Amino acid sequence: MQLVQIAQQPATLEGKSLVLPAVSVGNVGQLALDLLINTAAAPCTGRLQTTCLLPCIGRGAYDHQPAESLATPLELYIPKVGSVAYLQQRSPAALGQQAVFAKQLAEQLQKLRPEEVVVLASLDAAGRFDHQLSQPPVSFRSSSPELSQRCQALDIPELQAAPASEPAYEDRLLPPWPLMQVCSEKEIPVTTLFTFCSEGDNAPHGVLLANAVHKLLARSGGDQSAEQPSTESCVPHWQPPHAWQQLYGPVQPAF
Amino acid sequence: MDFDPLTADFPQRLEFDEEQEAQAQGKSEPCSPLVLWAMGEQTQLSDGCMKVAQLVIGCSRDWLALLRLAPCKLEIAGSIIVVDHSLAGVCLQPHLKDSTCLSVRVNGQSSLLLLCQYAVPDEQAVLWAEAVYSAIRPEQTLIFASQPSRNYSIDNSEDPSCYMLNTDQARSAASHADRACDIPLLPAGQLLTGLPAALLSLCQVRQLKATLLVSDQAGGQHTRLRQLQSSLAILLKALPGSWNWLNLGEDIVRKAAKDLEAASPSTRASLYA
Repeated sequence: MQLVQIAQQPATLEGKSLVLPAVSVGNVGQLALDLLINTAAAPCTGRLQTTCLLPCIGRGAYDHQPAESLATPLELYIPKVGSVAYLQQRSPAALGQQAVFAKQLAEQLQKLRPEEVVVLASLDAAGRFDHQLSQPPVSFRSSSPELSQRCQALDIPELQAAPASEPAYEDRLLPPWPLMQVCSEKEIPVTTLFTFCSEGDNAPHGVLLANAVHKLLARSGGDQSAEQPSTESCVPHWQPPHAWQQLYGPVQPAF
Repeated sequence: MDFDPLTADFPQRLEFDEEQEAQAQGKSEPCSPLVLWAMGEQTQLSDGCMKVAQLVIGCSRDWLALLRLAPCKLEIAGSIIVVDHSLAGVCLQPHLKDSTCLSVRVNGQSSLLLLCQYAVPDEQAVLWAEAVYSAIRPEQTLIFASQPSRNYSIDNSEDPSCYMLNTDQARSAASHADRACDIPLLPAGQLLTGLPAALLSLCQVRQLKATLLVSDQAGGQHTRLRQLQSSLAILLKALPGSWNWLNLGEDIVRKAAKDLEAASPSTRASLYA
């Protein structure tokens, strides 16, 4: 994996928290990153090249970028203010490449040296176990005791383990589990925020995760880039990009 | 997947995906394609790379049918071989129905044309693109591709035949040259995939000048080819540098249509071939 910096941008994430998505059911993590990046108007500071991801290309991903600007599969965004950076992943890893991609990404994270890594992921609602049905919509898993405490202080419960008769979450091969495992081995502090969902209109789930990560990082003094809400409410005013207008195809004519 | 379809619940999609991933992880890594050069071309290599001013890559049958007939001197300079891809049935003389990728030198000068006549799977597209750009260092790249209409999740009511995408470097070069192009950009929110996306994405990451022209596959053959020809003519006027060798006339469109018809496996002509 190769990181190509856009000119005159810093080549390190020291002192910053890095938020990235796991490409999972409903693409919820990616939708949440879109909200975070577009609302913060974060400029693109680097692009990563890897053979593990399926190719995709488009333009006009965010409103603050030039309309002709291309969007590649893996891009790094660092807002001008605040201590949070974002890594947006637009396409999944090719079949059989999840473990390789996780390893490459973890090695890149070691070079960038972020303070902590927050992964936004979703789990299939149909795969919930009985004891998870009554959980709050967002849960977490963390390799760092400090991050665990911050999540619990925000009333975000830990994702409960699967029953003994089912495969453990940690043994799964699909995102975010390979990345979490590799980051733990390399002692990179990683926290994953989960939400359960099904495929469909997952924008509300994206908002849910964006709210959760905003609260998590704001509490630690990190995310100051989103529009600050009133003191009574901690819900930021997210600005979805115009590219979302065609998320589910063109508008059908009314009959 | 081991379950009784009559009595057991169908496994969830997650289990199916996990099993597919587990099976795929056991397979060997995909191999990079081989970029081979003809004997006469090897003297032009510099540090193992071919430096060219213009690189044109055709990725779809419609574009290939036109590009092969470009009104200039074309000489085979090399070939790109994909490992585990059969070359059975390849003709001695280059033919549209061959499953090959030839690199062709244009007018003996510093322009190269890649005629990619085989399908590159998405999983290998990035490897293919990296292999090409490791072996070839172009100053400017043009990529021609097609995608079916069903792949577009946009309002296509204005029905343009072609969309365009440019890397940042190509865009700034065009703005410096003050040349506008009337071809519409791919609408925001629409994604392209496959080999064209891998090529353009790599050019964007490596900050190379590249332009992608992607056409719709709707319409009859003659209509599509004429639309491609007119879009190409509009694009060439906006590009910096000399692209006269890509000016395709009406006779080339007619010949390309005949070649496509002859190369199609369902035509009556192939029964008597």
